[in-house]
Amino acid sequence: MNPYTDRTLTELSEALTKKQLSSAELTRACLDEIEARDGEIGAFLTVCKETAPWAAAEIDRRRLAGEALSPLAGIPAALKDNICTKDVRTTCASRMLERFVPPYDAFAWELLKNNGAVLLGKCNMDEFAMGSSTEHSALGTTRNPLDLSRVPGGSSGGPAAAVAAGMVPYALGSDTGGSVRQPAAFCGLVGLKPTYGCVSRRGLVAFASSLDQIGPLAKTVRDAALVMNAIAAHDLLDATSVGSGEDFTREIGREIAGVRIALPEEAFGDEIDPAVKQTVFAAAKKLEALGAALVPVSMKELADALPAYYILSSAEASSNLARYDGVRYGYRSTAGGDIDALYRASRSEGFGAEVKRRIMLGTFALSAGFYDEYYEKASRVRARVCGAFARVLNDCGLILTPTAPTTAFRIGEKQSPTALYAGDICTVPASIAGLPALSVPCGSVGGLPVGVQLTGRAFGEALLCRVGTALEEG
Amino acid sequence: MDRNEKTLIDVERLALLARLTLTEEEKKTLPAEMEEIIRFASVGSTVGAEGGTWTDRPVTPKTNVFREDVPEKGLDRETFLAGAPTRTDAYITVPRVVEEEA
Repeated sequence: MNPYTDRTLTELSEALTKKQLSSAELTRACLDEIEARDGEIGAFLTVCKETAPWAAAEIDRRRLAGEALSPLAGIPAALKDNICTKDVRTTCASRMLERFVPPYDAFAWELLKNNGAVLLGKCNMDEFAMGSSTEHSALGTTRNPLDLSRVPGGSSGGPAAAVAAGMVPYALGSDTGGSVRQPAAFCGLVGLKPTYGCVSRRGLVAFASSLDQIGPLAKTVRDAALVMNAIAAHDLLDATSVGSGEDFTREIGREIAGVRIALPEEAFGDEIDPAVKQTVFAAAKKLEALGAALVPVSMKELADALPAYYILSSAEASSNLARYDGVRYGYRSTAGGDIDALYRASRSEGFGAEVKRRIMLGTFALSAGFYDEYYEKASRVRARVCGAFARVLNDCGLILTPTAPTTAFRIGEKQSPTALYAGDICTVPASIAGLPALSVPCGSVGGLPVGVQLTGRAFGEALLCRVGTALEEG
Repeated sequence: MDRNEKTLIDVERLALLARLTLTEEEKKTLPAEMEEIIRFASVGSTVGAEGGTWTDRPVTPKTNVFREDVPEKGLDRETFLAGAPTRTDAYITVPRVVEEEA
């Protein structure tokens, strides 16, 4: 049994700083835990068995030499397999990129590496991040460590399962419509989708460029904030990068008395499992007991957010995934024929069923005759959703909702594509508005964790971390 | 919502536009699946084609920022070619795209 399984990033960081523990020992313990448990969980697609101990030893050497190191130095990290790592294959859990070895690091990973993070491995996901259960991976099934018959959520299901199983102290996922927050909720973890532009998207394999954000999955809010301190920097090579430069932990520990928290009635509708609803309400009451003011609000504009999200994200995906043509990199079919046949065969053999469905939906929404009715209309919904958030967040500091309508469901339970899509109802509004949203565990139903989602103002992550920590402690 | 009627979703044409070849199985299952998905993704009647800006994106700074125009060394050709499925010297090989003259 790994003696570090239950330790938080913050605790491990302290132990390393005080030299009570070496990075080599910690990294070895994590690798052993993967060896022992990942056979049944299936969180990892690639484990850096050889390079991780080497990187850990290098940090130990620097620490012993008296160098001042980052709080993340020497701590193993896992990355979702759509975050590019130089010389380490990055598959997006797709046949298309099964053998793809990136020639560069994603900026977020480059920053973590500069902070002394040790790359432990790359984690499973829904193919190209399209899904909410990790069942759409072309490379294997990931099981929820809390109940192996259930999904870990998705699309960052691998990173979430790895952290929840104690195989790694934290991981980076990516969130387009809830892909960090929902697996965090299903696995009893903290997950943060930062404000759009807060973390660079360079080297994150593109799904829907106006929505994608990299975010941390961790055991505590403070842990997630420490990771954010490292990765939220301005990147000259991502035109939408704003960065932050803030200390995301700076408000943690401050009282929450007087904070105004909005509860939109539309976010607690019939789609939400009654027991989940009750658990999330109890979390709100806990915050009220700590002095926060609960403000009932109405956000009717949220009703169309889910369909609009599927149009916008699929439209962008159909365009982004046009690059996979079997020519320059990735899978190439050996079927033969002319160049057009090569494109079509490579794409048809390389992409899985869900990716093809999304490409087809996006192609439909952008095609002549349907563009106005679908893409333009969805964009108008997006503007209205942004307006609704602006209205509510003008008066309140944050909005509290469930993270997901249910707890983790059984593998294979949701058969139709739309049954899965419906589960994204709580998370997509913040995505299409580009706002930061934090999922924090707030209890359990039938032994499975429930997450509460806190959505804040643009670049208002510090307040979310403060209120999130109050929930953890309360 | 007459636009969602079956006859308007031509799956084979969409596949052509998306450079996908459907299997016989997909030709059978996809039309119904796509119909269901498109019905799901149809925005309700609460949103009309009213005015206002819809091309705005949230959060992203509204002013354009340029970096200094300074040459920098990028990654070299060999690094990128290493990922190509097939190559001949410094070229990626693909099926012939121009016809030979008669």
